[in-house]
Amino acid sequence: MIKSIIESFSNLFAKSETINYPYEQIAKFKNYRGLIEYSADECIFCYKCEKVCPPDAIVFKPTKEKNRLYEYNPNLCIYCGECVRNCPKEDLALWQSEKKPKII
Amino acid sequence: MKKTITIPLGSQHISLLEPVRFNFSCENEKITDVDYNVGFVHRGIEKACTEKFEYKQVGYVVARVCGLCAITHTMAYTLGIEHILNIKTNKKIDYLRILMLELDRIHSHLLCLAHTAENSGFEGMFMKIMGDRELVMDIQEAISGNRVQFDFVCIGGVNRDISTECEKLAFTNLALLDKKVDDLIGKFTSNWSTALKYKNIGALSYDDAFNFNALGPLARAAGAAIDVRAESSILPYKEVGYKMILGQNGDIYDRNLVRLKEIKNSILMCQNILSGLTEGEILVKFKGKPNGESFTRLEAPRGEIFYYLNANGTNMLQRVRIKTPTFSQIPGMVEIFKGSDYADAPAILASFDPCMSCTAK
Ligand code: SF4
Ligand code: SF4
Repeated sequence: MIKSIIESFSNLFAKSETINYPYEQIAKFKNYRGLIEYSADECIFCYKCEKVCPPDAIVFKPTKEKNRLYEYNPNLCIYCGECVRNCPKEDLALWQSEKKPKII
Repeated sequence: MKKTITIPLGSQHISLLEPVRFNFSCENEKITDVDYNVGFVHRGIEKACTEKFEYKQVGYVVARVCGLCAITHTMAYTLGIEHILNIKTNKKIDYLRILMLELDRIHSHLLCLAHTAENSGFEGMFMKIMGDRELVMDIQEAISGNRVQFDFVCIGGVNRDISTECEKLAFTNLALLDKKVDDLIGKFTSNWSTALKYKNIGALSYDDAFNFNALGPLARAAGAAIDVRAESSILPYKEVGYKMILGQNGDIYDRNLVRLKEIKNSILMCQNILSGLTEGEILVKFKGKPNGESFTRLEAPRGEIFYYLNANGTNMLQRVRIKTPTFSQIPGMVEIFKGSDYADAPAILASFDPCMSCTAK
């Protein structure tokens, strides 16, 4: 009983457990899983990333030219990183950044 | 004059975390009969796993069965498909997998304790435990790169290795949490609101634990030694310091204590793993398509989960059957409710730690 009373009083002066967001930023851990980024110059158009993506967030749209057009939907993406692991040109053509999607 | 009155609890109710509906038939304050409906969040996951997603993607789909034991579901599926594909993983992979499973158990048990405290009217304790839970969530986030859906396990291994920084963070946080859990054990044994008033409330006897197919902490609190971690050797639990924790009376008080002691045991296991982790590959290469069937059992935070997989040599599986712990525990729950006071129903319910999205999937 006495112990809990002391604890209750000390809690009045203890540091807050929560973060004063947005004035204080939430610390991000290293290697946070963020948006998938792509570079068409390096891509060899093997379409492996499209095939493995569970929610179909990466789609290659047919165009009039030879190569298809890469389209990525960040709102469908579950950030599993499976596409990057399967890409033969990992880190050059496709890589996982630490960025967040834009809030529309 | 009619003697019993029927009081519904759910499908939306302030003390319920998830949509489930109970119809309590009460005589005065006592519950005499219970009717239930658990199918409010059916999402057709089993069907999707066989029709829409290929076997390599299913691991990511079943992780969405449950937000709390996401890692356990993926793990059970992965172990099953690895059995069919005949993939042998190395020690390092097994250890990393156990590490994530146990971290999952810690945060799931803490959440349950927090809700038990909240449903017994102790809001401050709820906040405090949820605050402590952040320590584990941080470790998981640092290791897997995500806070809730970890997507850490994949067929043949794990997706990420653990860095020295993560290891350091894990050691610090686990040591801190260990002290906090000791403190919580004190509160859950001596405080009136969270502990003493729940002695002999919502009790399940040792025999009934077997008769009604109780699993997980619900069974272990009643003294029944039911734990897949002790029964199966699919993951090397014995090497990392697993210990069976048993209660005596099977009441809410015992269930809370069993959970707290299991957290302590899990912390010890995590520390053992982190200090004994060797260098090695985190992914085993494999070829071929699955052909055959497998049954996998794994101890989730709430009890045993069971996966049946059937593959026919194509990219699509033929059947994925998931049996979750809450589903098996419903007969036990109904039995406990009968004869209890209606006023205790929310606290009893929270102490089961039911997971309805898992059950309805
Ligand atoms: S991270 Fe996963 S969900 Fe997102 S695009 Fe890559 S494979 Fe698809
Ligand atoms: S897997 Fe890599 S190389 Fe192949 S199409 Fe996708 S981004 Fe291009």
